[in-house]
Amino acid sequence: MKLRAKSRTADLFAAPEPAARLEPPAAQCPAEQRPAPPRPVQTGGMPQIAGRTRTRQLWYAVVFPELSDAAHSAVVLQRLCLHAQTFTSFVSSEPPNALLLEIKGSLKLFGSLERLHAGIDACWRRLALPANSATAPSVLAALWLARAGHPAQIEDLGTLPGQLAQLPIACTAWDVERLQTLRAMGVTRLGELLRLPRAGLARRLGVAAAQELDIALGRQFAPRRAFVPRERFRARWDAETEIENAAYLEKALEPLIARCAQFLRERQAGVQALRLKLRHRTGPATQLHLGLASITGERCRLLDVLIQKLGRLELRAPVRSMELISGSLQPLSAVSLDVFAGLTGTGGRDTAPQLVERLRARLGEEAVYGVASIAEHRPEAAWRRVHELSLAAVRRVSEQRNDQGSGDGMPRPVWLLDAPLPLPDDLILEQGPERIESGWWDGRGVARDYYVARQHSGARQAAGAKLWVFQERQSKRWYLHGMFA
Amino acid sequence: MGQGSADDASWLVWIAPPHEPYAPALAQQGIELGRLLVVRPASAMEALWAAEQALGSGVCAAVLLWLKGTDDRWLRRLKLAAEAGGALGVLFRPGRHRFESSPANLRVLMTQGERAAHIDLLKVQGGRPGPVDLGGA
Repeated sequence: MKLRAKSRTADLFAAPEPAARLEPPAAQCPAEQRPAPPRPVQTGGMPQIAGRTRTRQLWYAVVFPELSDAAHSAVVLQRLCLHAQTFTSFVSSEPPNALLLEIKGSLKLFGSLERLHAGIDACWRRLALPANSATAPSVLAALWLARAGHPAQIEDLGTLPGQLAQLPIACTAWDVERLQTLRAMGVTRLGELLRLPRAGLARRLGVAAAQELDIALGRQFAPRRAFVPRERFRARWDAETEIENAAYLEKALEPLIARCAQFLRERQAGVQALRLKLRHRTGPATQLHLGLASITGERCRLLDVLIQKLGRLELRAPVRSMELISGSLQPLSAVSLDVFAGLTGTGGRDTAPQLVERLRARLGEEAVYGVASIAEHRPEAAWRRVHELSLAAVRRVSEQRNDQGSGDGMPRPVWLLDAPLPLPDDLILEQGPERIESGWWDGRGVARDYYVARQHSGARQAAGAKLWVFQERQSKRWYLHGMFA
Repeated sequence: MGQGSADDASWLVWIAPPHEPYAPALAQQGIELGRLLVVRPASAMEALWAAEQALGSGVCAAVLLWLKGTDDRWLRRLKLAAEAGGALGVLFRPGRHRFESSPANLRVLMTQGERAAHIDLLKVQGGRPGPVDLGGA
């Protein structure tokens, strides 16, 4: 077994999720498991095969049998992770009811494995939480031992197969189908499973299961996602005298924003939401909620948006203190940094998100949006509003555009009415019909023949305008649905 | 209509359009939907403000604004913003404003004829105003 390492490239595997970081204690990282993008500081392309300086790891696994309700347990596990972080910096949660701690680095501090193990166990006892724990040199072995209720403390990789052999196969938590296949084969213990030829095992149970066995035996390493506590920026400023003027508030806000930006920069993170709380002598505090069009940690952008919002605010009462609270921190990935770099004009003073934020701050969130087309036959369902500006949305839309580019023979009007208007039938049909019949399955079915038409010049309004009309096939009535510009 | 999407690094902003812009039609016309922003201000004042912001932002290729009426002062402000931001600003107004003065570089009156639209150039800075033949399109 060779696990010599070249470099520690943990950060390469930074996951895009807000509160999780992936550390690869691994010589091998299966590509299908971790398609995580690199962080901006490392400008590599694909995640590289990770090496590791420590030749061995030691995993402490703990299973809490009482945690079974999935929704509730996620919250509890988060809190237990915080407790576990007193013992090691690398804690990983295994939903629904287990935690995994890498404790190799903590052994020296605690003197011996027994003392460390007992220390962590005592932590759960203090919380009056029934827990089964085990320690083993591989993640899965520790987890399986803990699940089976074997309080083993194994440090030596060599004794691992023997220790695992007695465990029932149910401790793998594989799906029922796999376990039944195994039971039909007469396999009830891990030892019997390990004796089976590997190629046949992979065929019958799937490659993933065979890989898990390798991981449990320490032949292969699996990267784990580390628990990262949720962080928020929170800062308060108390006025010496009560402030009645919003302009003074802006001045006082600047240092707060500067601290927030600094806080975000240190963590290479950004936020997409901010909250400003203005406290008065009496009455409830005034709350300002700010949404940003994209994740940012830039001082100017944060300040710009807050000042816009403050400018529109009418103070109910003088302000005694204010508090700035950030939304949850999001990693500033290479993607979020570059998205709009390519989309903004080269000499422009603003970026597109800044413009959107400024408009939204004054006009309201709903007043600024994009549109996207959807592959759908019913004209009224073939588009939607897009509220978030993201590269993904831009891409998706432009791909769709390419799809549609040539296919449709009949033109579509630039303006679509919210609801079709009934029309008199003095129309000159110019193009059509295009039969659209769709949607019978969701109760909003349409059966229409669409035409491009012009109204007779005698009509009061829009004489001679090019219209998009349809005749409902059942009622034979005519409706106006859109106008060509 | 089909212009404005050619510039690769620029946005198209429609402010207070009279109806809902229909995405499939815009895509048919070759407008890149990912760069189109629709703004629905609550008042004419907000619409003008939004237009000024968009024009001056430097990220827009064109800003299209639909309004019932404006005053001269705002038109001048919009023109300055458009020059600063390097954007094309188009203001759509009802035909009754044709006799008012305007600082715009180009003023066009569009009327709907029996079979085709008529276009009259009301003002062309550095050119000659007059009717335009669209060739029956």
